[in-house]
Amino acid sequence: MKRAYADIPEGQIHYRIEGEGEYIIMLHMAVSSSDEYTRVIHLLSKKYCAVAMDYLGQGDSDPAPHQYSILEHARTVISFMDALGIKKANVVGQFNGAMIATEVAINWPERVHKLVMAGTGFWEESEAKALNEPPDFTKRVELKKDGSHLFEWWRRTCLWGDYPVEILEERFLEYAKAGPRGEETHWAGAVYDLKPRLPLIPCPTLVLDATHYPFHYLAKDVHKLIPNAKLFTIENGPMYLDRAMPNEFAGAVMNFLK
Amino acid sequence: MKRAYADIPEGQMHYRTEGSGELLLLLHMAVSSSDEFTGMMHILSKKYCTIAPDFLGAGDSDPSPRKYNVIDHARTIASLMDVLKIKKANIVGHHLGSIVAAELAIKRPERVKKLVLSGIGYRPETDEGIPFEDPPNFMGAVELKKDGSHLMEWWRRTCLWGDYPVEILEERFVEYAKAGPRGEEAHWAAMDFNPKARLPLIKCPTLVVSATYDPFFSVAENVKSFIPGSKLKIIENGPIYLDRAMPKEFAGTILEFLNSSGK
Repeated sequence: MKRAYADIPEGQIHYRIEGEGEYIIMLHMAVSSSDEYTRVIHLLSKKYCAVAMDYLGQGDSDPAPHQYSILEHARTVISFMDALGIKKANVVGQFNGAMIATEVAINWPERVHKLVMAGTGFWEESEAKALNEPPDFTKRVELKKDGSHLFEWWRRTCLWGDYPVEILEERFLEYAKAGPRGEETHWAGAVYDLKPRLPLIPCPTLVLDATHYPFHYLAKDVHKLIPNAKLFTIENGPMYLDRAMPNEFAGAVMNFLK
Repeated sequence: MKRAYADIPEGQMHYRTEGSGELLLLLHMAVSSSDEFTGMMHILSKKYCTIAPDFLGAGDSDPSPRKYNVIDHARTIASLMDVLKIKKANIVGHHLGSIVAAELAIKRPERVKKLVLSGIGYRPETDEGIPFEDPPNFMGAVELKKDGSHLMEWWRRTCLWGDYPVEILEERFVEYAKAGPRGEEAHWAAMDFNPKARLPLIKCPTLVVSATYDPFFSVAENVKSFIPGSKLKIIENGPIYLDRAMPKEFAGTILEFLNSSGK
């Protein structure tokens, strides 16, 4: 696997790439980076050219010029594909990445073969109203001289299940790299209305679900709304599915793509 | 400023680069990265092609295949210069970076034009009558802990070296987090260097830089005396994170030295 930078209009996009063949673009969750996919990339690279990019303001990419929406991030994915000369690709996205992948597929259908949406969901209107106040895991974190911001980032890292400490540290490092602006990606997801977009997805889609995903209870509803979709649930799959169960994640993607 | 990766034999070396002209390499301190030089590079890039790599195991570079000493690190810098087709360059090093720069100048004198050694480590012998004490436990190995306590240990080490705006402290903290449990190998490499034996072997024009609040300020004159024909520049009120905190003064010192003719 190699790491590299691509130049898009807003600045440099950091990415990881491995393998040869048809392209798979991999889009990460909020406050994360292409690093979450390293294990999955190794597996996919046997049959595909797997490319995972860091959004602006995440991982090692340049910051976004202002808080970017899901659609603006989707446009950077297209800019990134242009920079690498990638005409068409399969697109895999987890959580926020699934929302961004949705917008890529709807707005630039000629660039997408197939779509894999992992862990995405939507709130009903009543729930959305209750979210006027951001949940306390997405509030902005300020740097503090006593280092207490580090414990807040660690607390948020540990909210999503029990993992080996190395995996927790990987996620923590994403918070530290993204810094105080890191939560902008969560906020972009919170104001994005996924439900009406799903019926507009033009390409074959896999709804990749896991029993311990927060939106597991919505997977069937998401699947029903997409015209040409399959649903697959990974038993015992946790939130950090790609980091913790890369074999199952990559296996599900490869089964669907072939 | 652009960031990029170069493929050296051991793996990928991450570096930052800005500007065009004569080449100027900048080598960072232990448990740090090229990120410490960004402020200085903006200034130096007006006259020089600045390149600041991350040592293996630091910043965004690949890990070293085993614990590397300063000779190993110097060899990776020569590899980087080969890959980037750089025949010869001026080299600036800060702390560990200055030791690596010195070793490169000694082993590969044909690759180095002028040398700037900032904060090079020399621990005086007891009979030299110069009091010196390292802070306790600033470089023991740190293991990841599920309660997150390793983060506070890294933060404590970050804050040992003076008072800085929290943004600068955070930059240094991120270096600890990126380097991870193996990060302290860089400090151990720095300790394993004998300035009295090695520095006299430097043949190129050299500037020794010392900041008044740097731990090695008290031995700056000694260090200068080890290097034949070298100059010494003191930066008043400079702290250990000199490049992050006083980029103008540090860059100005370098420009003045590189612009001057002869030794």
